[in-house]
Amino acid sequence: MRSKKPILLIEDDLIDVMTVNRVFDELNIKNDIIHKQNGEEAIKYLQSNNHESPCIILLDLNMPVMNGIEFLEEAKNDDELKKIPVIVLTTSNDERDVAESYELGAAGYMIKTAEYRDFVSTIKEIESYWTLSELPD
Amino acid sequence: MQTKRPFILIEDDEVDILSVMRAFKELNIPNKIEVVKNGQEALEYLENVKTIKPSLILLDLNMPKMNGIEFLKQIKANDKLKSIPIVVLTTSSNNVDINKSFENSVAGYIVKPMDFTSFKEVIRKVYDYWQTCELPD
Amino acid sequence: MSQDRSDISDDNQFKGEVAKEKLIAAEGHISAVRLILVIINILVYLLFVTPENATPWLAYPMMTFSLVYSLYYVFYRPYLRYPSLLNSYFTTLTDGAFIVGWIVATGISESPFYLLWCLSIVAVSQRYSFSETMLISVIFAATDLTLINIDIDAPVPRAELAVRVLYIPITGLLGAYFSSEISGQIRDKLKTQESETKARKAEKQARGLLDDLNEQIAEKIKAEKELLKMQKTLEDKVRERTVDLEEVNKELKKEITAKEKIENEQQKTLEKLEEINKELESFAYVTSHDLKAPLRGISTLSDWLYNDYADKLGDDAKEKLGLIKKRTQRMNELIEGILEYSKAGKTKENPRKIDTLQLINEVLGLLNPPEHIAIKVNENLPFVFANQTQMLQIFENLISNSIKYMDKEKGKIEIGFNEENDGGYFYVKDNGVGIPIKNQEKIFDMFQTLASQKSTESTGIGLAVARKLVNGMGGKIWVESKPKEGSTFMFKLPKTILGHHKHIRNT
Repeated sequence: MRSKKPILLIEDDLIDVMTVNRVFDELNIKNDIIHKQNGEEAIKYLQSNNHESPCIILLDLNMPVMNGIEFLEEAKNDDELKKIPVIVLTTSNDERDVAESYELGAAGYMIKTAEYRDFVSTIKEIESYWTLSELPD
Repeated sequence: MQTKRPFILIEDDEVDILSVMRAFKELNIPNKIEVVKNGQEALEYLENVKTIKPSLILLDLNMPKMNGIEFLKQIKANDKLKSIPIVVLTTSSNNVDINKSFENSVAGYIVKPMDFTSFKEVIRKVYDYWQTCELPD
Repeated sequence: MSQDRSDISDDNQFKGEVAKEKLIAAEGHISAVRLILVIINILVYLLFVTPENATPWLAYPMMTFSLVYSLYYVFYRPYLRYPSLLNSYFTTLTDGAFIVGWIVATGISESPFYLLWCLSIVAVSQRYSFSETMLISVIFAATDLTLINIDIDAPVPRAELAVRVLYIPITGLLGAYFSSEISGQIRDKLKTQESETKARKAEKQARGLLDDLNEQIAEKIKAEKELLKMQKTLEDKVRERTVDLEEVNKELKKEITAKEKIENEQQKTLEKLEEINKELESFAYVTSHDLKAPLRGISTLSDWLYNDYADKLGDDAKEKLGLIKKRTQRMNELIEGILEYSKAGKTKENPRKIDTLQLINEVLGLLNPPEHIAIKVNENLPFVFANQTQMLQIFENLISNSIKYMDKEKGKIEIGFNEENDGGYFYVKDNGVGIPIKNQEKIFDMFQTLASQKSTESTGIGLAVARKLVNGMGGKIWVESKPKEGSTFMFKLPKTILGHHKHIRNT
């Protein structure tokens, strides 16, 4: 990534988290990964002041306590948080999830397949695009 | 894109329009490009029932009549149209423009490079990313 | 009060007057009666007293004397002013004298009748009280009756006897009446005199009190006047002071207003400066963007011409298109340079403690100098308290310049810090191409570059940016150079940035 800021990964499945970490290593992506288990923890983390805000957010939809859609709602209501691009990274290919995510201002929606290699190319796409794109402060 | 829905390009500079079209051609991108000269026209075009909903909107910010940010605000207030992903493709690298765009839920902000070759590369990356993404119907 | 006092004295006076009148009247009556009795007595003596028993040489003077005495009572009034005292002594003496005289003059046995005269005179005297007079009358009546009994021989005519017997109580009563009347008068007079005196005393006292009161009132009024005067003086003084204070106040207010005005103006000036700054910034930005748009058009179109009509264009045309392309690139760089210059020093970053040694190593990592250049970084590089991006930019620009203008095979670049008394300066020293003396000032200006314009990659803003940043921090940048031998770029930073942060680090 062009930005040196960390990437926030909101994901409750630990295996998926491990996978992401592995992909980042393979692709030589140097950004730190901050991991939160669910939307609520993510919001709490983001709203606390003692950290650098992430350059992008990778968001799973199916999570306990506060799921991805709810997180999007909360985040987009916050003046500071709504700027951060959120890329949905989920297993769900439900039309309603897709529509709702974009309606709530998601900046991408990628489906996680079982294939590791596919996942690698997905992350590669994300990295390439979001390196190209400008990012807010 | 999975669907072969058209792109909308909101741009008033002739050379820039030609650049996009040429890039699409050289990259063999099958999707059609609908060109609209400014935000006002774009809204009118999109609100027209006969219009097929585009897969993506490429938006220049410096336009007459209604500038890009105004257009963003208006389209995001429209329930039917707010789920269409919008990528800003502009000359401005001004932080204010970047921040304002992301505050209004753009799904990417790209500064147009000077030469055509780099521009083509940009278009390619954008296209590849949105190919990977799921899009709302 | 005065009303009452005068009433009292008036009353007393009136009573006194009345008493006096009465007294005088009574005296008059008494005197008249006396006189009449004396005359009757004289007539009776002359008519009835036999010469052999009488003592004529004594009797006649006695009669004269009593006549005179009576006349005196009638006519000599002034004595009434000193009634009681004088009168009583005189009366007592004369009465005594009369009694003795008549006894002797008339003889006891022959004419007790004359004794009766004495008695009557005495009785009329104002000295004796009623009871006394009655007592004396009874005594002498008894004596008379005894005498009548003793002298049986001498037949007493019935008429005379009747007169004698009647005469005693009549004169006794008369005497008593008059004496009590008069003594009463005198008592009244005394009383009124007493009350008059008392009244006068009371009046005097009252007047005295009134005077005292008046005096006190006068004093009080005086005191009040004094007080009023003092009050007035005080009020005047207060007014004076107030006026003074008000004036001072006005002055102060004026000063404050003036000061506020100045502050306002200062504020306005600051705001204006900021505005101008912003304007300049946005001007630079807008200009560069507006310039870029057509530039991109030119660049793109010339690309397309080159590509699309490659077979139709000759080498010459292709070369020319190539030159157009290069020129557009150059222009783009220049515009970028303007943008960069205008942006320089505008980050919102907060200053923080920076290890310049570490920073320089970072820069070298970024710039990746070629192998033929040996880089030496001195350990004595200090900590500074500054904006990180700006410090990075300065070093980056200086070091990249040294790399760019390295013309020697064995290049040497040394980066370090020289400590001095008032702080110290950073330096970047190279053995590159050097700078001609005439260019050494200009080199910090925008777009100044040594190499020819067409061949260079440099836009010539690196030093301009560096200078802008250094000056912005309050420092100073300069160069010492010998053409062909090399250049040393140096810059100082103010104490607030250098601070007391010594180069103490854990190595």
